[in-house]
Amino acid sequence: MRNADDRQWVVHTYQVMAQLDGVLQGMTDAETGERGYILTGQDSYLGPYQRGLTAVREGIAAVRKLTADNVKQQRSLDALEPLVAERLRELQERIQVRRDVGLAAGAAAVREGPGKDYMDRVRVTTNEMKSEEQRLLTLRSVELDASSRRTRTVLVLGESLGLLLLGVAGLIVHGEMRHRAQAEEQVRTLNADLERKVAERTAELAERAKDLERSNMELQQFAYVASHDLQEPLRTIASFTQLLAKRYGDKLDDKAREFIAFAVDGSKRMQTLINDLLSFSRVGTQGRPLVPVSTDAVLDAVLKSLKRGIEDSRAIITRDPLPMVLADELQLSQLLQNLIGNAIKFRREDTVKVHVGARRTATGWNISVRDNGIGVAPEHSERIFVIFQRLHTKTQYPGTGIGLAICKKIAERHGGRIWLEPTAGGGSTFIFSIADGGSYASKEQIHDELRIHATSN
Amino acid sequence: MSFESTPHPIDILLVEDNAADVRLTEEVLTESKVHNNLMVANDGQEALMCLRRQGKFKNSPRPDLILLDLNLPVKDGREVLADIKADSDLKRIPVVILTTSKAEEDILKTYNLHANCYITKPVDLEQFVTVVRYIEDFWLAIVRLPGNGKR
Repeated sequence: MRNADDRQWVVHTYQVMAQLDGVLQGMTDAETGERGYILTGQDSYLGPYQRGLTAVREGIAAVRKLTADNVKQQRSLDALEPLVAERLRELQERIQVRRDVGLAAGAAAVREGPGKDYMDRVRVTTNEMKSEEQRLLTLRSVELDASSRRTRTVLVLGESLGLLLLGVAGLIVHGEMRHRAQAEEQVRTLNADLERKVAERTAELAERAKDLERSNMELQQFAYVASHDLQEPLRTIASFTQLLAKRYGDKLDDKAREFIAFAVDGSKRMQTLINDLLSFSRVGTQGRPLVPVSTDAVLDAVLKSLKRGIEDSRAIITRDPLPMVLADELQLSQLLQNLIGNAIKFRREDTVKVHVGARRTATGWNISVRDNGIGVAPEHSERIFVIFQRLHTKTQYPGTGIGLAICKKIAERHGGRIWLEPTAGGGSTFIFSIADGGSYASKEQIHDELRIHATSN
Repeated sequence: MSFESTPHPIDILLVEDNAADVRLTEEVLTESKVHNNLMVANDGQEALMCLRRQGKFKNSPRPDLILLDLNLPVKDGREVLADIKADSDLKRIPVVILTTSKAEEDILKTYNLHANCYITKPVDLEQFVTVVRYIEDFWLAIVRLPGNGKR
C-alpha cells in the first residue's frame, strides 16, 4: 500500500517540477515572440507570444493546485506571481510601443527595460520551488528506507513464528524491493527524459535566436542601404547638376540646359523609386494591429480622397453593402485606393464604371473592384503584382509600378491574397480575400484581456 | 534683424569623407555673407588631430563651429563627438551634426552625446543652401558663445 503512495509522491514531484519548467518555458516563448514582433512588426510572431502567455497561466494554476497542501510552496507562488505579471506587463507594453511608435523605440525599450532582472528573479524563485520539491522527495525516500528496515526487523523476529510466516514476510520484502526498484527506475527514466527535453529545447531556442539575429541584421542593412547609401550619391548628382544650372546656366546653350534638365529629372525619379521601395518595405515593418474595421467607412474616405480623379474622369462608382473586416485601417484604405485609382487611370475612352463588391466565403470575405477599363491580358495576371513591373511606357501611363505590389503585400499581411479574374466584356476585376471582423471584440477589449491575463492569478 | 559684424573670419571645421559633399559645402559657403575660413578633416582621426593641433594641423586655428558627418572612415562621427564632449577644452565648441541619416536612433544617440544640433542634409540644392545659411545665421551671428581667448 505505502509503496503505491511512494510512487505517487515521485510522480507528484516531477509533475510540479515539469509545470514549473513549463512556466519558465512559457515566459521564454512569450519573450521570443515579443522580440520577433519588435524586430519584424509581423503579427505572426504574436502567436508564440500568446501561446507563451497561456502556458505561463496554465502552469501557475497547475502548480497552485498541485501544492495546495504545502504552505511553503504556496508562499513561494505568492512571490512568483507578481514577478511573472510584471515581466509579462513589460513585454506587452513593449509590443504596444513597437506598434504605436516603431522599431527604434521598441528596440530601445528592450535595451532599457529591467526585463533581465525580473527574469532572473523568476528563475531563482522557480528553482527554489523545485529544490523544495526535491527535498520533500528525498525526505519521503528516507521514510521508505525506514519502512524497509522495519520490514527486515520483522523478518528476524519471524524465525519464532515459523516458516510459513517467514515465507509470507519474504514475499512482502521481495514485493517491496521490487516496487522500490520500479520507482527508482521510473525516476531515472523521468530524469533522463527531462534532460533530453531540456537539451532539445535549448538547441531549438539557440537556432531560433540565430535566425532572428540574422533577419534583424538584414532588416537593418536594408533600411540603412535605402536611407543612406542610395540617397547619398543621388544627392551628389542632383545637387551638382542643379549647381551647374545655377552658376553656368546663362553660359550654356539650349541643348546643354536640356541635358541638365534630364539629369535633374532622372535623379528626382530615382528618389521617388527609393521612397516607393521604402513604403513597400514599411507594409511589413510599420503595420498596425488588425482590428474590426468597416469597409464601407474606409471606402467612403477613399472616394473622398480620390474625388478629383473621379470627377475629372466622370467615373460612375457603384457598391454593394460592404462588411466589417479584420484589418489595419490605413492599409485597407491604401489597398482600395490603389485598386480604384488604377481602375480610373487605366480607362478606355467611354464612360468609366467601377463597382466595389463583397461576397461571403467560408473563411471571410472576398472584396472585388471591377472596372470597364483596358483590362490585363491573362498572361500578365501574375506579373502585374511584382514590384516595379509595368506593362506600359511612362508616357502612356505614368507611375513606377509599385501600386499592385503594395496591394499584394497588404493582402498577404492580412492573411489573404489578391488576384485578377477575367471580366466579361473587357475591363478587369481585382479580388482580395480578408478575414471577417464582425464577431471580433473591439481593440480595447482585446487589450484589456491581455492585461488581465498578464496580472491575474 | 541686424547682426553684429564679425571683425575676423569665422573658422569652421568640416568633418566629411565625401569629396563631393566637401566641395558642395565649400561652394555654398563662398556665397555666404559671413567671412569664413573652412578647414576640412576627411575622417574622425583627422578631425581630432585638427582640434588638438597635431601633425599637419599644427598651425590651424581653433574652430568656432564644427560641422560633423556621422558615417566616417577610421573613426566614426559618433566617437569623434564623444571625444570632443569629453574634452574640457573642446566641449564648448558647438557641434552641428550634418548627415544623410534620418534614423531616429542616430538622432537620439548624438543628442545623448551632447550634440548641439542635428540636421539631415536635404537632397535639393536650394534647400541645402538654405540650411547652411541658417546654420551660419544661428551659430555665428545670433547665439552668444563664451569667448575662448583664441586670438
